[in-house]
Amino acid sequence: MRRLWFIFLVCVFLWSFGVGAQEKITLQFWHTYSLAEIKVLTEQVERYMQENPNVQVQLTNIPFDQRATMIINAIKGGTPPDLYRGDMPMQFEIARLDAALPLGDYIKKFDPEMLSDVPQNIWDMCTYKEQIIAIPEDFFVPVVYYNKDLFQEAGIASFPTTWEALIEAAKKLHKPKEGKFGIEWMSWSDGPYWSTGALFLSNGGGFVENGKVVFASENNAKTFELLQELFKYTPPGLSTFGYDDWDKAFYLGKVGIQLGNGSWSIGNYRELAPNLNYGIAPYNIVGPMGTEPIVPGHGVCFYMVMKGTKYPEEAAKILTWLVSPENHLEWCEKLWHTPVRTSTFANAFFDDPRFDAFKFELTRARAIFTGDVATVFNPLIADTFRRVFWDIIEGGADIQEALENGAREMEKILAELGK
Amino acid sequence: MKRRLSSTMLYYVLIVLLLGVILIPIYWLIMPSFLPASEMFAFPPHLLPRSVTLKNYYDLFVTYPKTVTIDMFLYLRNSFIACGAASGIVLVISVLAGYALARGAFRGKETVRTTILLTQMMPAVLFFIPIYLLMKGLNLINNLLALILIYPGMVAPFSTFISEAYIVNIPQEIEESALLDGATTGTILFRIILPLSAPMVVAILIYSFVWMWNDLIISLVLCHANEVRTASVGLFSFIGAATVEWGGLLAGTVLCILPPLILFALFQRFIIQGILAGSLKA
Amino acid sequence: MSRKRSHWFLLTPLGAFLLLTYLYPMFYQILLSFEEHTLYTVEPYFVGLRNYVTVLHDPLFSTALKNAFLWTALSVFFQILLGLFAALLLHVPMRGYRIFRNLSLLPFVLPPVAIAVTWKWLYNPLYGLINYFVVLLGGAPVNFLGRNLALYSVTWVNIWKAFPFYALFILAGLQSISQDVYEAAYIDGATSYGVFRYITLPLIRPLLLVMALFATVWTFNYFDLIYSMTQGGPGHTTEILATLAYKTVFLKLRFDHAATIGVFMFLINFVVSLVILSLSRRATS
Repeated sequence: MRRLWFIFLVCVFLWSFGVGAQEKITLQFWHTYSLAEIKVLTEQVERYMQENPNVQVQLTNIPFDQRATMIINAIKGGTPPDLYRGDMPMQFEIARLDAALPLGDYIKKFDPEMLSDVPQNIWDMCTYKEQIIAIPEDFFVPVVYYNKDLFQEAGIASFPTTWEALIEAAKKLHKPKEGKFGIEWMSWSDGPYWSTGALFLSNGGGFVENGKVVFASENNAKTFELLQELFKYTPPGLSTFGYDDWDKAFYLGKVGIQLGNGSWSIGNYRELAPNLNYGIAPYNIVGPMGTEPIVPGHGVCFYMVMKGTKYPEEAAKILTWLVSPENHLEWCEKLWHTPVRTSTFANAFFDDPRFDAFKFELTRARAIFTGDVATVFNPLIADTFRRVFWDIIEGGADIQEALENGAREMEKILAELGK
Repeated sequence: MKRRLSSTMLYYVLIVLLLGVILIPIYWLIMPSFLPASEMFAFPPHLLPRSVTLKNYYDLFVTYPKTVTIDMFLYLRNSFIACGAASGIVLVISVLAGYALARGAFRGKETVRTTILLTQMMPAVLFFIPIYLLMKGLNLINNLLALILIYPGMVAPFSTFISEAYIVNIPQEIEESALLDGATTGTILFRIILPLSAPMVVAILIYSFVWMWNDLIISLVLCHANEVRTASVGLFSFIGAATVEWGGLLAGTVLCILPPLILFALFQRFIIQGILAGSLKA
Repeated sequence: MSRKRSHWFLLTPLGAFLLLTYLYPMFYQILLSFEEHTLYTVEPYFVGLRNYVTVLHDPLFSTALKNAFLWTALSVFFQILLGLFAALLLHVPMRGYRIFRNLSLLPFVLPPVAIAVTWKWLYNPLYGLINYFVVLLGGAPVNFLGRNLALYSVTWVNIWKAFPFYALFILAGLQSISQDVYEAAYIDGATSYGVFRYITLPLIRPLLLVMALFATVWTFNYFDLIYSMTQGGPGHTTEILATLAYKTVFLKLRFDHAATIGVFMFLINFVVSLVILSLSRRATS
């Protein structure tokens, strides 16, 4: 019995060695894509390997929820992959750990046009200490999705541009007895900031500016009052929704207005809800205390080369290849993603009116989130904001007190991070 | 006769209640795996399927391995190898230790017992990084051997307790006569104890197999590459950042619960007896 | 070889695997709890008991501790109570009992991912099955994972997931009780309740206590389910020490504080186990 197991173990051991033995340049590529994206990526990478037979790319999809666990383990253990595809704010976390390879020179070598073709505010999100450390592959700004059928049913002509009109619209759309609800926003991780941040900023408020916490302001208190009012017209359990719950509520036609969704949903809804009649509006709402509409910056998804790779040049080459004009166009067309290259965006495919809001936002969105740790996108600050947000809106906490406590907590986090 | 009838009624009412509580959520997991995506989230919910399809299973078996390299069969094979081998180890080490604890009258036995129990008290959450570092040091990351080495330590404490309690119940006279015939401890264990404890063997194997089969984060941390992924990690491929691939997830889950379920059905009689003998002495 | 020494020899393989799995991680964690050590720390250095003071002063720690106690106590109590009920029921050899036993074990074999996903779906206030019936019966949708109910809702899932496993063990215990004992009692005119109370229960009490011991330690340290259902939210209402430790490692990247929480968890487990063990000794003697 024991001998059998022993033989078995030896077999397993030998077999698993066989897997790794390769003579080619092998690049480990970690990503967190969903199935539709993996499909296109796999096709493109296969093509690359045919064109470059000396290169072997091993794609590994890392479960999205465990991506932090995995990359932190890998960096701590000194065995990161060669290539990494991540989402904000991972690029700066990785760069702070000195695990990101500067890519500027490689981009100049393989695709110099990319530097001017991708707008500067997107490059700002890929730059750490004046070095380009990531190649953008997707960009997103928060916009507003709304259900045109439900709008028509409630007799609302166009998407509101003032606070009063927004509240009015949500109220009209809200028919809980029929299982229809006015409005929803994101509630997990940095979601509340992502999807309601525009309301705070456009009302003259703020969170963390120039390394200083400006959270406990009168304008923010005012914005919270508005959100308390809006909260009456949200579906039950909003504060507990995960992405899937939130998304489904909209595409199953249960919610009229969805604050702060991104470009990726165009592609998703095409698959999930082909008959959904929805519109996309820019976040163009000025609060009573504000002067102009402000979007809370934008985000990118990006590719990185990790320091410590044996083949930095080969690794950078495949990344620039993936975001080359032809491949990037194919990627965005097949998946309905918003392009990062201006030349790609000019393609007739993106004349679809659903992309208008994104084109509009791209011109005015600021890269408020840079390598500086002192931003609301820092996971710890986002976590604090989220708690204060729901304590006030759902828990009925005193606004002024909760804001001050939150600000104190954020200051503590900043002090800790600054060490 | 009347009393008998009413107690039979009561029995079946209670059984239906019990199985209802257990099975309705599971029905809600298995049934939608046969539905087209458009019908899965219909509201009001369709309690019975209106159109049945095998598309989710077809995608799982045929489409996904080809297009997105998510190959549940490969992951199941990996799970079988890792869990099978590690369960074997668990069996051997916990029977040996259980025998020593049951039969040995040596000093420090209580300390040994307590130490075994102590290992269960450190939260597993904190093992992910050190275990990763350890296995990296042994150059075993992305190697199923890493799982085979780590799992037994996590599962063996409980099975050692089971096997100790079981062996205590085996009459010692059998061994003593064997000893007089000049048998060694090894012979006694493998010729006498093991054959007498088939139920316990099965109980330990199944308990540890299911535990490992369902482990998620340790196997993800140690074996993340596609070729060495285990089934429970593979299921996570269907939960993306902005989409859950419900068809794949549900069909994959059904596929994942089949092997342990079949094991249970086959060995039910054994496992009940195995735990039975151990239990009261524990 | 002497019999005496051979017992140590037989313990060696188990010892080797336990050392492999636990020695380095335990050593690593205990060391970490006395160091300043984050992901960004280049050279960790000794800070004495500072981490212990910091962790104890964190208001989140006491919230998580309170939740962890509630979560563990409710889970273990009802897992074993329901397990006992199910076992008594499945013990009766009525027509079909073998199939019932098989079916009742299903939750034990389900992967945790699937359990979390399914229950979140069942609980959902918009399109979940439970709320569909609540509304059908004229009620308002219940927000099961909201602030007031979340801890109880996830605890219920944990009970649901594990009670069949304990039922199996209790069932085995019931079957080991000799039939003669029962017959004698019935002849003496005992009622069913009396038999249960004065014969069955005392006989399986040691077993129940051993299970309670393992269940307590396991549940206290168990983090998968809560983490995938609520991530400790909303507003830390389902934060237990295990999820707090996880977040402290992978969100805050404070390895030192997480290790300290881990040491506290270990100590709490240790004390609670001692209590259960002494109870079990008293029950046996």
